[in-house]
This record gives sequence, C-alpha cells and structure tokens, in this order.
Amino acid sequence: LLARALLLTQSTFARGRTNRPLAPTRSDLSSAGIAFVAVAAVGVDGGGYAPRSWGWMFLAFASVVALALLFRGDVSPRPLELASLAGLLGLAAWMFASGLWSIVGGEATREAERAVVYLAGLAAFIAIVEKRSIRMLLAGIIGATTTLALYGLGDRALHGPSQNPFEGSLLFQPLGYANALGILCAVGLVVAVGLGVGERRPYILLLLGTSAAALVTALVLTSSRGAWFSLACGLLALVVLRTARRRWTVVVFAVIGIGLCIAVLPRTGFGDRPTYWRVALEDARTHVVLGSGAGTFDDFWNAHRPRALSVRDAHSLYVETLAELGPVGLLFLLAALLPPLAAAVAARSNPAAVAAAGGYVTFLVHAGLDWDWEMPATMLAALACGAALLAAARPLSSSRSSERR
Amino acid sequence: MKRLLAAGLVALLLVALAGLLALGSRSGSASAAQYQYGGRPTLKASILVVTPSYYMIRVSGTNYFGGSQPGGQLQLTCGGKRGSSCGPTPEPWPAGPVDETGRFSFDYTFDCGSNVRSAIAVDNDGVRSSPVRGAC
Repeated sequence: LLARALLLTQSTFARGRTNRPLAPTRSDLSSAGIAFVAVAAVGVDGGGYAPRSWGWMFLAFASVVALALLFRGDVSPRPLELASLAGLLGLAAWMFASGLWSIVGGEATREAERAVVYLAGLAAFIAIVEKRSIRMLLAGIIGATTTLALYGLGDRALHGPSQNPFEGSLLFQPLGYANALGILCAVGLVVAVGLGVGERRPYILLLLGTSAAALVTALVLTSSRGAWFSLACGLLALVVLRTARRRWTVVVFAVIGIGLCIAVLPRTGFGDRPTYWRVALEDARTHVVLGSGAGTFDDFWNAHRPRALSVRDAHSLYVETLAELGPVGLLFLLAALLPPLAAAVAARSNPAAVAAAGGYVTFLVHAGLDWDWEMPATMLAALACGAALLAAARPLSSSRSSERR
Repeated sequence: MKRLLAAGLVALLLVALAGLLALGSRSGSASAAQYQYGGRPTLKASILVVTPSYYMIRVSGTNYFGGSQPGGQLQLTCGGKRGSSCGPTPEPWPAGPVDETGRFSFDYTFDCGSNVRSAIAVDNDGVRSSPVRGAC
C-alpha cells in the first residue's frame, strides 16, 4: 500500500503542468528517493550532528554515485556543477591542511571529514537528478521536512513538552536543536509554496497544503526567529524570480525591507549572536591570512569571550569560515555555494527551479545566522535544492539522455 | 559482472542506511544543542584514600553529552630522573554511562607501586585532568 501511495504521489508530482506520461520515470523515483531518504534518515539521526554518523552517510552517498556511474551513460558534471563540487573539494582540503597552522590540533581533520560528506552528498544529488525530474527532487525535500516536522509534533503529542536544559520547551526533536528544525521547516515551506503557486490540480494542492500546515505548526513551536526571517527572504526570492516585470523595483524594496529588519533586529532578535560575531571577527583580524584553523572558534572564544558563555560555533557560516580558514577558505565556500544561484538566474523561467531557488535562498540567509553547516540534515536539504538548480540550468540538448522507465 | 557490482553497491547502500537508522533509533543520546552550548567535557581526579598499599582516586567527568563516557586510563608520572620507570600501570577504566546532565563519577583503586610522582586521568578522546599527587 505504501509503495502504491508513493507511486501515485510520484506520478502526480512528476507530471507537473506538462503533458508528460502518468507513470514516473526511474529518474523521478530516484530523485525523490535520494532527497527524501538523505534528509529524513540523517534528520532522524539527530540531524547527523555527531561524527559517528558521517561514515555511514559517506558510504551511502558514495554507493549512489558509484551506481549512477555504473548505470548512466553520461554523468559528467556541467561547468557550474563542477565549480560547486570543486569549491567543496577545495574547502575540505583547506580544512584538512589548516591542521598544520591551527591554534589547537585535532579538530581540522574532523571538520574536513564533514566537508567530504557534503561533497559526496552533492555529487550524489548531481549524479541522480535529471533536468526533467527536479520537481520530484523537490517533492522529496518537502516529504522529508514534513516527516521530520511530524516526528517532532508526534513526539510532543506523545510525551508533552520536554524541559531540556538547553532548549527548554521548544520543539527540537528529532534534530536536537530547535533552530535547525525551524530552518528545515522553512526550507520545506518555501519549496512547497513555490511548487504550489500556479498549481491547479486539487489533489496536489491538498498534498502541499497538508505539508505546509504541518511545517507551519512545527515552525511556530520552534520559536525560531532566524527561521522566520529566512522564510521571509526565501518567499521574497520566489516573488523576485517569478516577477517578469518591474523585477528591479521588487529587488530594491526587498533590500530596503531586509535592511530595516537587520537594523531593528540586533537589539531584540539576534540574542548572543553579535557577541559571537565580534569575537569571530577578532579571530579573523588576529589570523588574517590563514585563519586560526578549522574547528578552532570555540578555543578562540574560550580565550577571548567577554562573557562566561559556552559555545562551539560562531553562529554564522560566513564569519566563522573567515575566522577559521581565512580569505582563502571563504573563497572556497563561496565557490561551492554561489553556482546554484547563478543557475537560478539562468533557469528562472522554470517554475520548479524558482521553488528550488526559494528554498536555497532561505538556507543561505539562515546559514549567516546559525550553525547550519554543523547540522548535516539542514545542509543536505540545501545541497539538494542547489543540485535541483544546477540541473535546471543544464541545456536541453545536453540533458542526460539515459532516462529510462 | 555489472549486475554483481550493482548488487554489491546496493548492499553497501542498504548497510549504510541501516547503520544510520540504527544510530537514529538509539535513545539517550545528548542533543546537538547540548554539545553546542554545554561546554567542553572536563575530567577531574582527586585522591580519596592513601594507604601504604593502595590509592583510591575518584575520577569524575562533566559535560559528557554523548550519552556515555568513552573509558580511559590513569597515566603515571614517574619520580627521579627523566626516563625512569614506575608502576604498576593502572588498568584502564571501561566506557560507561553518564547521567542526564552529562556527569559520571567512579572510584578507582590501584596499587601504590614504586617511584610514582603523580597521576592524571585521560579519557579515550584525549580529555585530561589536572595531575594529582600523594605518596603512599
């Protein structure tokens, strides 16, 4: 029954608004499957935060890449895909090398291992997803985020609000961190809204609406201000990319709105983050060329913290990367993260690509406000959105031709 | 050959997913937020009893949010000239549970031996205590 329900869902999503056949292709199934399983399985395992999970994750992604190489005729990455993969590879290598000049030994290897898992994940998504199956990849992301939201809500319903010493009564399971669950819900919501806009088939709207209801409920219970802010930015990205006329007017208003939010938020909404960022920037100024070494922010924090707070990460991917890995590390990071945005601009006429872009922007904004890099479930959802964008930008003529039933 | 290879890869994939799900189904693990905000694991060793024949040292740990402590060993520093020997080397302590606040504690008894100047507790993740001193 589950298999039939999955097939029915797959086929309805797969058809989109084109005249494609009802039965899902192998590419549709594998795209939806890899996005769903990667995000949901890692999410249930505490978000994949603990290093004990990384070996299994790498093994799974490496197997998928090997299977794609075995069965697909053409898996050679396009230039934007290659740039993103090379950025992640360079970042992992730079992290590993930073052990040579790190202010504290031992952490660099572990940080590099996690980056290698992301590299394998992105490679697996790129190897699997076809240009015509990105809707299914996005359906897999919505399914996974909804599953995690329902897991958290179910846990709350069965056991009541927990009184976790760090998370209080917030909804934080199964990821173990309320803001991480919040951003996953936000990414799922933006993607669902992106797919739902212009959709007329009632059963698809019902599926998307049900998912959205679960995601909003979970998001409310996480009380994640950063996730709400990122959600607003993601929705704005949807509007900007879908607006054919007066796009620049929308962009200008959006930038002004976001600027106002940032101007107002520091006093009320960022919590201790400005303190973390100041210390991280001090770290960057102290180790201006090479950075202090991957995974060393907590050591620098403990030596220079203005208040007796314990924290491991700087709560901003970009600031922490600059502090720990210097300008070279930040360039590698941007090389990994920016190609999907370039792909989004190129593929903005594709409604599914716009939905993926909304989800991706939602993550990029939140990564500047929290430790999303350290939470693989969140990163994998973002990388799946990024892979969808990269696939959407492939030229039709060179779209892989090995799609089989 | 291709089918055999594919079957092997699928088996690897299934094993990896089973491993992930098995880890996810384990209860009692600390949350990511505990690791992020709970501070570093710290070890403390203190001498409870010193007799002519044995020491009793209490080893206690805090901020062990992984759901268990990884085990470890008391390492001895010998007296006298550098490179001198002392002992006997205490037996390692096994991995074990921690309470819900990430703490554990146990008493560790070992023979006095000879030429021992101090001892430190070191867990299997490399967390070290301050040295304790006390002559039998």
